[in-house]
Amino acid sequence: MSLAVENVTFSYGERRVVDQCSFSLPRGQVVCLLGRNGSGKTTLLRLANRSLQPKEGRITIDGTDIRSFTRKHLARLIAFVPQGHNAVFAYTARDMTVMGRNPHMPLFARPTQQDYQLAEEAMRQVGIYELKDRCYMDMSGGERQLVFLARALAQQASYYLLDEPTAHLDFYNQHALMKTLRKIVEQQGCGALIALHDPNLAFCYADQVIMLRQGRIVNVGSVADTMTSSNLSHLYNMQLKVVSLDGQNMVMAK
Amino acid sequence: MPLNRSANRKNTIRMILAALTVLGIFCLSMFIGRYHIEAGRLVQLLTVAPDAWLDHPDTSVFYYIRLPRIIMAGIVGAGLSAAGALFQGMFRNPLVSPDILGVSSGCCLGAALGIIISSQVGFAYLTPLLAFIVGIIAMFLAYGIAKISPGDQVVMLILAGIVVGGFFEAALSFIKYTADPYEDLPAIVFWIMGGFFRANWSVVLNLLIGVLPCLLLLHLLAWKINILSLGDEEAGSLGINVKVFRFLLLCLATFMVAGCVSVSGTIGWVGLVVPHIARLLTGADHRYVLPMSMLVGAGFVMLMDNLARGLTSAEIPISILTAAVGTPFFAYLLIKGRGQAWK
Amino acid sequence: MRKIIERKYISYVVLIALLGSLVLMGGCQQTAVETGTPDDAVQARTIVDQAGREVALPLEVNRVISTWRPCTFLVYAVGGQDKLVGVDIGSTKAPFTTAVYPQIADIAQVGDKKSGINIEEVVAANPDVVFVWSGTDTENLIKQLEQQQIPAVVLIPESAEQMREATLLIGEIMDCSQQAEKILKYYDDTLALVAERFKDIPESERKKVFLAGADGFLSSCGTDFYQHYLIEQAGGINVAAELTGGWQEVSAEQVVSWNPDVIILDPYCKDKPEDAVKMNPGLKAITAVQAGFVYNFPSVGQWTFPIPQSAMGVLWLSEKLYPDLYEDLDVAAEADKYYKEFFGVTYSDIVNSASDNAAK
Repeated sequence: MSLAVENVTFSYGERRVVDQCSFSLPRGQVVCLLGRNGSGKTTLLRLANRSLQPKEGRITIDGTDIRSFTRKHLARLIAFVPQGHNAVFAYTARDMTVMGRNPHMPLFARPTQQDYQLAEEAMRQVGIYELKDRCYMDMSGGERQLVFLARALAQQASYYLLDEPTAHLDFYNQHALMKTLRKIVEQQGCGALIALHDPNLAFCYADQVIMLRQGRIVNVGSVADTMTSSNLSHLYNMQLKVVSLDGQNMVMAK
Repeated sequence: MPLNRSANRKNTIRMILAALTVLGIFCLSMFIGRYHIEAGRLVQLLTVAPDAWLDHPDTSVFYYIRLPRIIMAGIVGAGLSAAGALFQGMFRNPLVSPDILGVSSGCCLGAALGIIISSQVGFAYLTPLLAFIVGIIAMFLAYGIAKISPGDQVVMLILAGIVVGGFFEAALSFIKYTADPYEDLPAIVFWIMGGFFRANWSVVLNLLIGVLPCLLLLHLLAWKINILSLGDEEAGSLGINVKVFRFLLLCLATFMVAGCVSVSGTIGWVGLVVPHIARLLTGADHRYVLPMSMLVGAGFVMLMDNLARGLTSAEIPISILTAAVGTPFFAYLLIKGRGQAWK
Repeated sequence: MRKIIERKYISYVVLIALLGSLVLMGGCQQTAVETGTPDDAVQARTIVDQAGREVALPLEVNRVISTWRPCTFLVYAVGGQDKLVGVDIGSTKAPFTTAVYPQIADIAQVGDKKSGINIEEVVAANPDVVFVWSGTDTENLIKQLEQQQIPAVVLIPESAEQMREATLLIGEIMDCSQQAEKILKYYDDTLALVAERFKDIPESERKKVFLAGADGFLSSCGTDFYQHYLIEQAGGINVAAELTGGWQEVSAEQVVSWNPDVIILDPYCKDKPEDAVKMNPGLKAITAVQAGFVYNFPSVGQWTFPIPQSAMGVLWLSEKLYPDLYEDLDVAAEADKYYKEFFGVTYSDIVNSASDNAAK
């Protein structure tokens, strides 16, 4: 039971942004995508979401190519949390969140009481229930990110794809969000693929790690096996050292 | 408490108030016109049986001239405003009006062709029919051009619409240049100016059949339009087949706009300003914006038409009135800092 | 949430039902009374209008509405102005109409070609007949009038021949046939007089005329417009005869290459020749400009309209083109006599009242 990426390549014109990438995202696990800016993390996520079409290779869920699903069905399987969002309309946080229920709603339907309840539950899980009536455009970047996360949670999907969800969050919220994700993955048994900037968060919360460098997967595996000093130094092109403190691994810049 | 009712309740109250206001304007409009009918007589008329209608010029004027015209103004106002709200949501752009895809220009061109041809071939409905058809063609042209162009579809649609609109405008200028200056040219210029003087019951019936179902459908799809307004990628992630859905909505809106413009000519500013006013009243949620736009649009245009047909002996072109009243009011709202629905 | 949806749907259904019933009522009646024929007692005769339509009219027509200005002038031409109960907007203030029949200022204004006709205003005036122009925009008006049981007569006074037809028709409808024939006879006689005077001038020596038009000094018209025929009837040659499509703009170069002998400014031409020459010094090369043969066509009588009074315009123009041929004729006196005879005021009176009003 997994989302499998098989030999996927994607180019913008001549430039190969994703080069022959293969990995699998199993259910019940948190997998982190690590890499420098421009290494192809966002593109990979968008490919998995079917926002982009791969030039080569395919992406499957439990063996079925995602291109064979309808949009709606796919949205019930995959939820995407974008990195940025060009806000144009002043929806409230609650309305924004309940939009995540759309894949479960028939054509002419409007959100029911149950949909709203699920949405508010999602907001509670993420910790933004108090903001539910605030216009999401009036929020800080981080709070907005949390709204998008709540929206994705409301989708009740099998796989979550998150593009640098901690980018605008304060220290507390970074960990709170990752903790929440971890809990959801464990409780609901879904899979989460998270593009991260900070490898330390991977150390704390990930089961597996995929290291992406210039569009290629250079390392993939469990956190313990993959996140070594040499791998990380190679990945980030700088001298890094993995240290252990009170049983918790951390990476330090030298 | 599972639901926060106050926001919904506020909106519902506003909607009811708007509906009552529109009803009030409708009733008021019945009393306005250059042909004077006393108020008491009017009320009497409303209870008169259909066979007695022609006996007195009062009833005749009221039932054949005034009433269909008021209803026509209301429907066209609702249609143009709903289409405007839809386009603004779909294109995520506050400056978009229903003419964006060149539909109005197409309708004008079609009407001009119809006017010229009907001086040779006498077919009563040729002009509005051609106006409607060419308007629809304009939209498909713009859509087709956008589809085969690379890049963000929404941007391409807007650009293609500008191109198509420009082309039809040029063709229209050419037709005006070569048209018969006695009969056809004044008729063309006059048609383009827009107005409801053509109102009669068959026009109203056609409008009802054509426009009301579209309004209903749009209203039912309002929630999906919310999601579509997030942008193609996000809407796709949330399970909307963006291509199909957008095409469907475009067809609905174009059908509505072409239907309205083909019988009433171009009426400016309604499709642009009314949705903004609606948003200022109800917020950005299209479940409220769409019906509110319809109500505000219907009331606004009915009111403007009252001025157009009642203020002076001549008919004042209604576009002048909608611009003269709509734009300063809108400016006032913006200055008051209530333009909150857009960033 | 569900309650709100239900409420909205209910209101929709109610609204549709209401409108639907209204429409059904109206629609049913619509088909029954498409042709709205008036009562037999009042209807007494049928005439054929210039669009070929058969129109049933009452024997006595005492209340007439004219919907555009040339038509109003035609009504005046046959002497029917006191039967007007509704006119186009400009006619309540035009110098000619007010000087001849001052009460016209209080007559209801129903609209005009540019802004359309207000149907309620027409019905309120309770006319026996309405004169409308021909065009697709009046088709709807005619239908609406039929519904209100008001007969509409379409007039097409575009060419000289059609103008005569229209005059006779209006005369017949308004029981002013005598006056109509009289004024047409005067028209024919005047044209014949003018034609007689220039008949000996060979084609090559006829004066070339450029008529500066309503779109500005650098605009003119060809055979589409009545003005072209005025020029020809006056013995001139319209240099812009090949233009089609009404008033068309022409380049300064084109006018110079035409090199007209005389330049006439249409009453609706807003430009002054001095300004035009200042903007285009090249125009100085034109014979007419050099010799100063630039004249403003008199405006008060609306002689460029297709009306019998245009005979005065032909006379005036011919005198300007060939002054030696008219040394024995005082055109101004002739105009005064004409207007006094048919309209009760001299032409000079009308012009004076126009300038008085302008000075006010």
